[in-house]
Amino acid sequence: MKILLRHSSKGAFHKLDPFEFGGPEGEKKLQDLLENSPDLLATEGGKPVVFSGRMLP
Amino acid sequence: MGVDADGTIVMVECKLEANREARRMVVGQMPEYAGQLRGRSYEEFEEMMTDGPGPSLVEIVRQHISDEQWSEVDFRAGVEHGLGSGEFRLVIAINGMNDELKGIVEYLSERRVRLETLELQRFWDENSGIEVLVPEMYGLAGRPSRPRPTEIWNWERFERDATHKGLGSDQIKAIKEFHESLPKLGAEIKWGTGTGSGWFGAKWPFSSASVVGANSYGKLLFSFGSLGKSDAEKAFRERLRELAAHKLGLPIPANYEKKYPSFDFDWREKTGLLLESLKAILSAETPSVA
Repeated sequence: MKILLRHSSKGAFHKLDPFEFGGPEGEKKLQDLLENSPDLLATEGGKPVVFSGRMLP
Repeated sequence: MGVDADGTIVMVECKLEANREARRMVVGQMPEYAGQLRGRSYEEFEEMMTDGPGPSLVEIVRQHISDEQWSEVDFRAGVEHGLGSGEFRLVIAINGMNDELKGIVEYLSERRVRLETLELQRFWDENSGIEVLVPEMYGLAGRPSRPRPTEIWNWERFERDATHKGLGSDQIKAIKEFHESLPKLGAEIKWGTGTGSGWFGAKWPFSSASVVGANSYGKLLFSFGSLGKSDAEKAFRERLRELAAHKLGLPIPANYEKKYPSFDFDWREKTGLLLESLKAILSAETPSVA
């Protein structure tokens, strides 16, 4: 997937760089996204999901 | 772990697309986690989701919703239904979908195993600082929507549901006595709207929500967390705690002010005591409460 972006007053679109999730903290970065964005994994009714970040032992 | 406004519990495992072995392992991990969570109590789940002295789970969820019809009791019933039945929403969050994982999810979905995958692709522009997140769900098509309530609860429906859940006729008869006596104590009966179980509660003019009630599992419900918006509510909350702890001998938690506890209750033996005690605390010398 490519995402192109431009300011409406300018002519050219330019490609956004993909964010790399790799490295030892990669999975933690994914987890942080979910915890900080309750609307990311919304339900059928569009209601947000609240995450705690806690893990089962 | 997460939970939505209906009380549906969501379990998410985050994996990187590059880690092939981890991707395979996660398909086995999810049922294992679900098995560990099934059978836990609401209090145990709340403890996992919150920091002890901080806001309660209900308060945290309320911060994220704007639905005025949202009910703490229905939320709690939804969580308890999930914990009891093991019906959780299982989601793999991954930074890039691939054919192997897609094939696994589709295979399971066709065999009615609900496993969703949330693909998260993130892009950014160094110069402007703009970030774009592109989420895409896989495996949702086979996931049945939770049924929406088609009718309001009333005593007849509550009684049918309680019978279906295995509650004895003598217990149901005693709960009916409780239900019919509450208006005589000046309370308005409020009914739940959830689908997993029914509940009713007593709301008095001084309170902004129902504060004590019963559900179709036969549990006695207290909504301490709904009392605190006025001095009259706070005074009644304390008297209700004393009633529950000392008159009925129930294990009320230390931070009860934020809680919505439910208890197994011997309605046959204790309904009379409960009603007498409620009458006593309602007629206590606080003019705005009486």
